[in-house]
Amino acid sequence: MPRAHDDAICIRQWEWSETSQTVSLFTREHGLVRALAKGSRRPKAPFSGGLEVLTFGQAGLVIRPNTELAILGEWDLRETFPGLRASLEQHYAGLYMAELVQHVLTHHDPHPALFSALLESLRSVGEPSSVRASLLWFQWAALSETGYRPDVSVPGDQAASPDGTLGFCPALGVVQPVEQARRAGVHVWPVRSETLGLLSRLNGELAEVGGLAAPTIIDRAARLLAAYLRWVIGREPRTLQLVFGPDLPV
Amino acid sequence: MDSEPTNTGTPVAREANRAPGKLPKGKAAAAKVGGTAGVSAYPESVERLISGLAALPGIGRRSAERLAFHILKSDAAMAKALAGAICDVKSQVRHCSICYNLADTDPCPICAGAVSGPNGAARDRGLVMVVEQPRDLIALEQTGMFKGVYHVLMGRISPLDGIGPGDLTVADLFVRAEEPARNAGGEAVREVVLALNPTLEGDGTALYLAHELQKRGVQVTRLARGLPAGSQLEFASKAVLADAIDGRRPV
Repeated sequence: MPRAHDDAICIRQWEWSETSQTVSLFTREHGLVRALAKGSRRPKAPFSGGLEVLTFGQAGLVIRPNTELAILGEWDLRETFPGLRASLEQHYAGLYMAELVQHVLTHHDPHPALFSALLESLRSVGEPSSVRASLLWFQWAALSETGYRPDVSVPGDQAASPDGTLGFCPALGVVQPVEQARRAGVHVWPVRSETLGLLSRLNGELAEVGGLAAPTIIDRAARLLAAYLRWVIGREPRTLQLVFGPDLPV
Repeated sequence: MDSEPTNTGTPVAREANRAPGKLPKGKAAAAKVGGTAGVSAYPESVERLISGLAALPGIGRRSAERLAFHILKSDAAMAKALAGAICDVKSQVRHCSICYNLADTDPCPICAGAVSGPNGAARDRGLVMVVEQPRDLIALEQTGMFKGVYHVLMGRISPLDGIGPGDLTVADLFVRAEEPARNAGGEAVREVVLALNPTLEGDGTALYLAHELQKRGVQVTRLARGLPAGSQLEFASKAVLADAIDGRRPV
């Protein structure tokens, strides 16, 4: 079988035996791939010292059409993202992104743009001041890539309540007039217009996100998207509360 | 004229020549007698022994057969000693109530001060080294370099697998740090050395413990990482080199 070489980020890893591992790789061209890395923990194996979660490298994969588990023949480590080991906040943010990829994608469904977004976000999380901006930008990328990007435009006839809050309907992924939603019995989360304004300007580069709004607004927008993603995938990621705490809207 | 059984000729001839009651020797013989599939040709007790050995990590069916035949060929005293050792391990070995090391006494000899430190010095029980598993403790203890006591976490925090601090012995470590009476020898914990595996999860566990222990006024250090002594740069893996560059220090 021909061996495919592809950029990959290791997002899960399990011990298979004393010398081998099974891994879940998010690859640029092949999407999520689960693979067996035989002998990867041997010192002289072509695996750059073994595979670890949240490292970036080039993977040599043998993917058989009707087999669930690919064979990982080699792993050339390129980047280790040391910032993920610098503080608990950065550490949990990286884990949350990895878990999100597993929840929003299916196997062998390539999303090169999301791969690039994860790579860039993991690099950016290494900077303590960019953690929230990275989380916001990556979640937005995940929603956009999977077709769940919410419509955050505010209808012209929608009036904000006196304190400036609007309503975001997670079931429809749209902003709705709060009063109208209440009358129709539609569940909405209160959301500030400045949060929606930030989300509507998120289509640029990650480096620009920090300059778009104050840190508190970036944090609020990241929390809104985290709650929305939980709604979309229908379960709570294990790392969600470690990153955002227990107070997300439900 | 009767002739002695010989070990020459074809496998079939060797099988025919074997004295009654004698077991075949070697890998090929084990496979032959055991068969390859379906009903086992072994006596029921031998089959049970092989199955039990094959359930051990790193032991396959063929290796289990080889070990079983070795036991069969050994004298009864050796087999009984082995069986007794296995029974004793299950009945006598327990976790130390202070450090969670495996021991047949409670507290374990290290916490009790019965095992001295390097050069026969008394154990410094205000210095606690935290490890993930008892086997890590043994590896560190065999260096003879550490003069303090230990705390075994019995795992590491792994949020992706749903393993949190409550699944480990983290709470007992905090109690040792807060209450000197609960530490080995009743001494106050002065410093905690984090000796966790240098994986992402190990580092996450270390970050969590450092954060919590510093709140309790304990000095926290961690093992150095990077190039091992005696190694050569050209043969080091990229991960090790990256660690060494990241952890460089002035000379």
